[in-house]
Amino acid sequence: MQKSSVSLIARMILGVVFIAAAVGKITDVPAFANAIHHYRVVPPEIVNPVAIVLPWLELFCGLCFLAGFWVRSAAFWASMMTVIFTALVGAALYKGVDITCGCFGASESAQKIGVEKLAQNIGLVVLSLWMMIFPLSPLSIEKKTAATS
Amino acid sequence: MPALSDSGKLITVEGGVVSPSHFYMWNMGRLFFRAAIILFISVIAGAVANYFSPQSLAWVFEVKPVSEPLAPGPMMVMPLPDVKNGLYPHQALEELKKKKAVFIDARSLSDFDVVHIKGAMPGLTADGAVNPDVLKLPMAQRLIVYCSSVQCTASAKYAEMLRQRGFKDVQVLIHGIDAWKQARYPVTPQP
Repeated sequence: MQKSSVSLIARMILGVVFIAAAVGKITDVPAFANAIHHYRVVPPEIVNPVAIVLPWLELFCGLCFLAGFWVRSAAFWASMMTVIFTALVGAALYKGVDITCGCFGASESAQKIGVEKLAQNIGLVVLSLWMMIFPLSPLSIEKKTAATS
Repeated sequence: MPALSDSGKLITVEGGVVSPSHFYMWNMGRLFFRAAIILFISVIAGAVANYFSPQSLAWVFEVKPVSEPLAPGPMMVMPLPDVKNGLYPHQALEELKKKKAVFIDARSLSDFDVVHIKGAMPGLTADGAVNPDVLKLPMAQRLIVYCSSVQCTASAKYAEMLRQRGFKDVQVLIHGIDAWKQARYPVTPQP
């Protein structure tokens, strides 16, 4: 399979996942703020700003992926976010904190963090890094340039 | 703008050749510039959405005492969580530690007996009436009302009733005792 085909599949997966994650959080920002707080990592003073901005960052990154627009820049944020999320889930698992993920908003109340969630996040990290390195793929709005930043 | 030719060489619009180091710096600059634009748009969109949301959050959370004049008339029905005069569990915990606030359980007395926040007062009597002991509290006392979860509206309604009766500083615990228990904050009886 060509790299561009892999990039196309990775782009679509990331686009759908990020948009789905964003919509769940945007519809209930207070619940997302609570979910962030429960990880007990983020200082309380910045819980609300993070809860307000992060879902929109996810949404715009997802839209960039689906449209094939500024893919490398979107992948930069996606990599940052997924690496941090993975570290948070890993830390919570290590500490044995029994909390819900908050990854797709409050509606997924039954989704507890666990090894499966950690594996999902690692998969997203890999896909995001792949898009950082190989951003070019078919069906993109952006023209083919040396690097689709 | 440097672009890939069919042969894979880096060429500019003018047809010149770009050195690899210059191209690398240019490309990194463009990446971070666009990433900054995406972040900027996200901040603006988040701020606008939060401003118009019925569940808007304060950017820097502060406890807001209720200062609006009391409106005469029937008790207001508030279908949405009273987030603007609400406290997150970690903020309510600080109030509990400092013993500044009195917690009031807006659920039924039977639910209160099963489990309640440590030190809380029952908001209702066995027959569902307002607990008269609550109404004897000082009007300036900070009160934190809670119910069961994110779905319940009993705390918001109870808080509004207290404001109508003249209490000056009534807050609601956002997402109720479920979030409190999830955060493993003190409850009675202890789990």
